[in-house]
Amino acid sequence: MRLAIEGVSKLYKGRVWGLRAFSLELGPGVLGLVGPNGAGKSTLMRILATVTKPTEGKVTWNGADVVRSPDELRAVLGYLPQDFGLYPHLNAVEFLEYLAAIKGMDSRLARRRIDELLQAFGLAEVRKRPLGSYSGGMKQRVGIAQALLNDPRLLIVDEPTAGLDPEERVRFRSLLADLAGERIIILSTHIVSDVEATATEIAILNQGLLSWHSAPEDLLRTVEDKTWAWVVPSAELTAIREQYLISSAVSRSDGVHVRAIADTPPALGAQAVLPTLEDAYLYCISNSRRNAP
Amino acid sequence: MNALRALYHLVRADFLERVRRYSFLIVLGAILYLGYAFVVGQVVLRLDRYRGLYNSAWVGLLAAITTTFFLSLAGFYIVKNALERDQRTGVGQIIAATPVGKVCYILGKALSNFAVFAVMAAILLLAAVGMQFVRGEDLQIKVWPLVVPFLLILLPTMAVVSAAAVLFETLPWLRGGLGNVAYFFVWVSFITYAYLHPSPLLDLLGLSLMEDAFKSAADSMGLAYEGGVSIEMVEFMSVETVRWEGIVWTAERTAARLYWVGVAVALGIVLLVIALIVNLLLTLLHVRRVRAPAAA
Repeated sequence: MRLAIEGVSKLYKGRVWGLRAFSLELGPGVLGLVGPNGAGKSTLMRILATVTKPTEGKVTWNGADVVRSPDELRAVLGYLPQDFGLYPHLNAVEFLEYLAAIKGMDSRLARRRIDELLQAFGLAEVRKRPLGSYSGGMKQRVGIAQALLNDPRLLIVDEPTAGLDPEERVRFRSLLADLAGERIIILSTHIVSDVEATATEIAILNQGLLSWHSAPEDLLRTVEDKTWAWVVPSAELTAIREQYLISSAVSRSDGVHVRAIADTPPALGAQAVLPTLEDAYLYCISNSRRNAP
Repeated sequence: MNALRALYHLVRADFLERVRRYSFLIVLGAILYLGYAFVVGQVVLRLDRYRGLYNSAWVGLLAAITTTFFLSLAGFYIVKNALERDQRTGVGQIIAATPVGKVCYILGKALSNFAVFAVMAAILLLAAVGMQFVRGEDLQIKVWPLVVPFLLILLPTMAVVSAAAVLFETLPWLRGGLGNVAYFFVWVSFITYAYLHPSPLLDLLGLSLMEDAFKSAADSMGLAYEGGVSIEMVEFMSVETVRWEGIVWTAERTAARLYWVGVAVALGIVLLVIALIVNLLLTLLHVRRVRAPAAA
């Protein structure tokens, strides 16, 4: 099972590059694709899901070009787009039956799978209610359920936790962890904590370019001995923001607890702390902006 | 994959999504009212100075002709949103990532359009039975004379409208407001031309066929019918009521109506050829782009 992305670029109208010369090879595991809004994540997701054709480069699934023969990939694909919709006058069962049929699933298997997924996502009680009456979180869960219908070998989820409450978010992360194994999962998000627990690989996209690709530990190593925490009076925060790369600032009664990434201690009393993936991500994005042409 | 199962679910989902909307009920209400207006005499269908006695044949014909006239224009705008809805709701992105083919998808949308019209026709047919009783000129219900105008006049025309709506949605320059205006002018021009140059090949609404059938019946009844069909809101002249048992469906007349099913299929084929050519061109373009850097 191999997904290869070779020099893929996407040019939009108005000569705007959504993605530039993106290359990556993936095997089973969870790829956390992170990047700021507008970095090109959704463009890449759409290309990988065969919804959009790349302007340059090619994507192959087990050696077959997905533009020339997309059905091989589509048969084993689960895709949750970022801005997906539902038919508001259908209920969850009808909608999922519909998608199961066009995914080529056998009706008995589809029915069983739908029951399992509705149960797993806490939607069994509302299965006969029109989807238009669902809350944002419930709709998102239906979206995730449809992506999992055919037990996909390649699962592409674009901003899957948008609209989910914290509890649902945690549940989704553990679901992804359970799903990981003999399949490729690509999880695109701008929330680093979403990939922290599950990703076996991490890729950072910025301004359409791949800025980083490695195991999460390797990314963390880039900010080892560079992450500091200290307390400053709130009046000094603006000046500190201009000077250092701040990853968090929390107001407390004794001042603002600042966390920053810097090569040397940024202030007297600043203490080296264990870096998080978010620190490393910010550092990488900041570097790629600095090095941008 | 099981293409028939996929097609069935495509039609079913799209159909259910449409008929559960309030807008569907409003359109249905408008059609029922129109049928009612004909039956109670607010709108009159006149064949020169004759009209039929309100028996099953005349009520069925009246309801079918009226609805064909109304839906051949308004129906286009009612159903011309099948592809747009998938795009607007974002469901289209999910569908695009499944193995369902373009042929199946487009056929599913056209059949869903047709299913919406068929349900309207079925409800109107039931209402027509009630209308015959309301009018009370002939209380004997004859099923076949009542049903056949729906089957052979209304539905073939709706098949054409169903395919035309998907065709307009598929062509980018006809997808929006321009397409809506274009359809209106095409419809008016076509109906006018067909009226001035009667021919089975142009008789989308079945009016010429009705006129021809009544002429044959009038000759055998010894009526002085010179031709002409009119739909009027005001009664311009006093009309003579005749008992007409409806159109005699000869092989020639049946073929003339089935010809429109053929037109719908032809439109569908045009649609699929366009979709396949566009897909092929995009793939070839992609292959050329991929090969170009390798060759350089």
